[in-house]
Amino acid sequence: MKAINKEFHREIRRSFSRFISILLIVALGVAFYSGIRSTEPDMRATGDRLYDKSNMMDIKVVSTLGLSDFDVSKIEELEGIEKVCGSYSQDVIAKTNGHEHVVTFMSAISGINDVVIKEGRNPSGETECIVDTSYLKEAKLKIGDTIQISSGSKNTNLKEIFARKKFIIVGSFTSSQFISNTRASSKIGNGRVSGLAIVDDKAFVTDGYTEIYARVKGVKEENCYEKKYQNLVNLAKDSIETKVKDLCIQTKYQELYQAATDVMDGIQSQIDAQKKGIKKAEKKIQKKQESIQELEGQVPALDAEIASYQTKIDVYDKFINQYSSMGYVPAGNLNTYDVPMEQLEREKQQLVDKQTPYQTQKDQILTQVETLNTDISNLENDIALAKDTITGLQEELDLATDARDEIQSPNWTITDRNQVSGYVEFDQDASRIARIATVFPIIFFLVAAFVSLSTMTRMVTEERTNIGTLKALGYSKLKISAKYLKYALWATLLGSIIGGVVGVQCFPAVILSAYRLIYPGLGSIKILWNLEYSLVAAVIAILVVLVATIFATSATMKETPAVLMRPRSPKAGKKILLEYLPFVWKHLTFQAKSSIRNLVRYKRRFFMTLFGISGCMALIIVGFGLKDSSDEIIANQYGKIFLYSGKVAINGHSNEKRQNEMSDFFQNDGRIVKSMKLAEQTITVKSKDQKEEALLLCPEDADLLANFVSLKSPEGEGLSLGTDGVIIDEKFALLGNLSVGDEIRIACGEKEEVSVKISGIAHNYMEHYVFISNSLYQSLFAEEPLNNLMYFNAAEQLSSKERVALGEEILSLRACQSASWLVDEKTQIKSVLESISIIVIVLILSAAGLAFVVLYNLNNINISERKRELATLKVLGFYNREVENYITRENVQIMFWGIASGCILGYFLHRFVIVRAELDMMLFGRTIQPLSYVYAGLLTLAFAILINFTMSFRIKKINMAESMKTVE
Amino acid sequence: MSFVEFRDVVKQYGSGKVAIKAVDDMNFTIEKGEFVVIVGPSGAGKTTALNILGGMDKLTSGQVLVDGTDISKYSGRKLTKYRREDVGMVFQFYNLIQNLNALENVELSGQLVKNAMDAKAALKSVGLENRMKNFPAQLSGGEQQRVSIARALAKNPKLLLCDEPTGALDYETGKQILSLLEDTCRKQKMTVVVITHNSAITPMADRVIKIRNGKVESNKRNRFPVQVKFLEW
Repeated sequence: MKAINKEFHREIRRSFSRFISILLIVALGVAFYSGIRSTEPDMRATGDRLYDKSNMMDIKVVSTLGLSDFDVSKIEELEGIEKVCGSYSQDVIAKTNGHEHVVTFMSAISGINDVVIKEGRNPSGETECIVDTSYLKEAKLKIGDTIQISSGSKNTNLKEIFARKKFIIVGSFTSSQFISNTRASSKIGNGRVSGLAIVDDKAFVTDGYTEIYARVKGVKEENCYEKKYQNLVNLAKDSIETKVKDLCIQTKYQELYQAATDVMDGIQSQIDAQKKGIKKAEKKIQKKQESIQELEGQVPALDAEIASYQTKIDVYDKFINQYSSMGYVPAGNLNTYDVPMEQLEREKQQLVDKQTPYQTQKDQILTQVETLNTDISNLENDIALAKDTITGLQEELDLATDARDEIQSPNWTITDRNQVSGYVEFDQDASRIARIATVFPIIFFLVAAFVSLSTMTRMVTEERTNIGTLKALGYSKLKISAKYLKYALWATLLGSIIGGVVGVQCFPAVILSAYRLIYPGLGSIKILWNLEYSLVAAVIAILVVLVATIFATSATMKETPAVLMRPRSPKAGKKILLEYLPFVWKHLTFQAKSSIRNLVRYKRRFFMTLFGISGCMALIIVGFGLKDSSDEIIANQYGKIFLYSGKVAINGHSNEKRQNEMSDFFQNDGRIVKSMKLAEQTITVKSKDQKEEALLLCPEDADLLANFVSLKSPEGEGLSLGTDGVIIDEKFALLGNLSVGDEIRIACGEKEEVSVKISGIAHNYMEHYVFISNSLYQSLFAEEPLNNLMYFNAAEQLSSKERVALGEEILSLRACQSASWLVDEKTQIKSVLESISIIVIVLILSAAGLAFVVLYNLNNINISERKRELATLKVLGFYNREVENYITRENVQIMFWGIASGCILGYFLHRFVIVRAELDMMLFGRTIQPLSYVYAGLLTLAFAILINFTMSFRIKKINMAESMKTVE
Repeated sequence: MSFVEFRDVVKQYGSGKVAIKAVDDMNFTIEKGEFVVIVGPSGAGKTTALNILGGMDKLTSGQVLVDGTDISKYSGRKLTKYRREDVGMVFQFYNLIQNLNALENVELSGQLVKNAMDAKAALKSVGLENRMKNFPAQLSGGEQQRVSIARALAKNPKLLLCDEPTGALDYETGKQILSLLEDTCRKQKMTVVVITHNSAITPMADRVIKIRNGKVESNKRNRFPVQVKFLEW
């Protein structure tokens, strides 16, 4: 090998720490860039893998009146559909170990939305269930515990839905449907679902499915967050919409109609039966009355006979009585002779005997008549009863008829994954990372440039005499500089490879692991080899370092060999500007003078160190600032802008009675201080350049609005809703470059688009809002707004138990559909923004690492360059501590300037990052807390002190004899 | 009792087979107030010996007694104190602090001791009263060396050690410097040790120590030193 090449290889070995320092800083820069850039696709890949593995549904169909196997089969027949499953679900209040939570019970289905069993086994039979792991933890349950369920609503009877009300937990699971900690809202209990339970579908006894899940053919090959996937799913949704929906809806409607008609028919036939019965009875009565008449017709004749005999008998009786004491009837009364009593008795008896059959017959007839009469009155009772029954049945029939008339065609809602909690959030988090990723690596590359520049400059300086000698020998400039270029190139190349590989694998792993805390259901992480980012970073790194090296070598290469071989004349000291102000200069201490002169003299070093400290400070400020900004959102939006305690969704179509019931409740209940109705609608707002979804809010009484929402301009002025325009939120105004007086267009539901002026821009952080006054609404849309929302303020400080109780009572009002509390919303958003904390920590740690490397490097070079100066001081008899102070004094000044400029740099950098990291619907707080500056300053100071500490070791080691060596 | 005594001093680099003895069992004495010239060829060990004497380097074995105290036993801090108060060094390449002007360079060393010479007076004594505000870059070689000497003198040290003080200077200027050193020695009764490889100046010394291969070849006293202005080479 040529000697000059041998020298090159030995040089690498000799100055290994220098080689490594360039390698490391390049590796760091490349790793950082490629790592963070590739996190976004890795996050999406991880999500996609989870959803593919768990056969997550692509489409969900819900009907207002339930779904049937018919519907399932119709969807299954469609060409683009791979698998369909009907499922049952119901929100219940679950009581366990004395706690109550809202739990969604779902039936187990296979092939779609698979769950991962973490403990135990699958449920079977009517009494077993499995629960999700976070619910298990939250409610402090274990396998073997029982859950008792109740409906939580007066309108629902669980008997119609579940076979049993008691379940035993046989296992726990995680589901890809609920990967984040945020849960869906519910209509019962405190309004929020705390857990999920899966049961065997035998446990459900309802007829219709609550939802149908479907998977689309051919989507697993695509990444679910990309356009191709969405297109395929949209096609499938459309085909359901156009080919299946109407048929199924019709069929269902017919079914229901038929069922209702059957009911009606049933009632009708009952009515008819009753009517028949009445007719029969009436006939019977008639017959009986005829009989009575006929019988009674016989009576007079019998009476006559009886009477005639009776007359005779009476005569006898008269005589018997008259002459009973005599024992005979004297002649002349009855007969010509005396008639003995016995004869009288005998004859009377004969008469009686003759009379009796007539009497008997008459009695018989009378009895018969009585019986007939009784029968008749019974029959009349029956008729009356039947008539009553008919009236009742008629009422029923009327109700049934009304019910049948009220039957509406069910409505189908076809949704896809975009409504699944966690799915969308995760995607947005990935986007956010990407936005931040583009900014920071630039800083790292700048630092890499500086470090390599200073390192290579130092190297070239040290080898001055060598370069001179080679030049004197006759080697060309190119050949000589080739060594340094190769040196730098090798270090950079190796650093890029290491950094590129490590970065692309490590950073996403770290960030995704951190995200796992927020998304516990995330499953295994998928990291791709996104080497394209590494390549880009490597190319930039190589360019940067090569340019720096060329810069470092060019000046030296130009000089003549003789000059190079002489020791380099130290930089001339001269009077500095400050000396021309004698009244300042005189009062400075000797040490101060020397260190100020030093700073001015070594300008390049001054600026590089300054930049290093400044950059570190700025990065830390951005980190803390991001945290401040997201905290500001939470503190201000929920509590200072939104003042209400809770809001209730009202069924705007409910009848007057229910509406009044609700109004009375809110007016009179002691726990509620104030309430106000609003009309809320999701609309699209358009300006010249911008189109966003927003919430249109029309308060019933604009003057009351200030109690619930604080509308202030960004400068702090109060805004009021008038008739001349609407109030929009700050972010939308920013996005569309709008100011007060500009026009925007609003598309509300199916109504025609209208143009309206902006009368005010309100300071706001989350979501887009358009506030409109009642009168303006009416004049724009020519109709009264439908109040479907109620804000209310609760009395001070309800405990969470009281909140739950109040919430339940509100939900029991028929007109109220759902209720949510501001504090719960706040908690939800907090966890969404928690993902920012992760980014913050990554930033601060990187800044720390960076600062340390830079400052350490610069300090080392500083000491190396000034070895002779420092050795002289040692020789003169300065103690080690004094020599350290000589250097420290300068560093302190640089630090002061560095921290000060870092604050300014940090402020602007923070602003820059915030604007990029925000999503369109969000405005980050722009204020950095003063305490953050203090923390950043303290941290930076800590690094600098640490580095100064290491420096003192180096100073101690300076060998005086070596450093002062004469050049012989 | 000699002022300076080197007893069996050894300075060894490396160990075992690769050991190099820069100073190999050196023995000599110097009396107070003497002007000593140490001569020898390059690599003989002169500078090493001076460095040991000046407290800039540690010996491997032996003793060095200065004014009765054995400095070879001194710890780092004590050695620094020794350098601070008892020794003044002058180097071939001046080693002035570039960022300080002449006056400040002298003040720098004066500040270290209690009974320092006034910096301005020191510069005056070397003839630089008009160049006090100039920076080293603005001074000629001779002027720089004179500042260096003033710096060393400002401390009122016991010993003034000079390592090839005229090595970077021309004949005339070199002579001037040597003359200055001579004056300092005579007038202020200071012990001055000068290292050189130029044996032509040995007549000016009170004592000439010849060093070869790390050992003392000879240590002769000069009864009648000649003033340097009369010497020619």
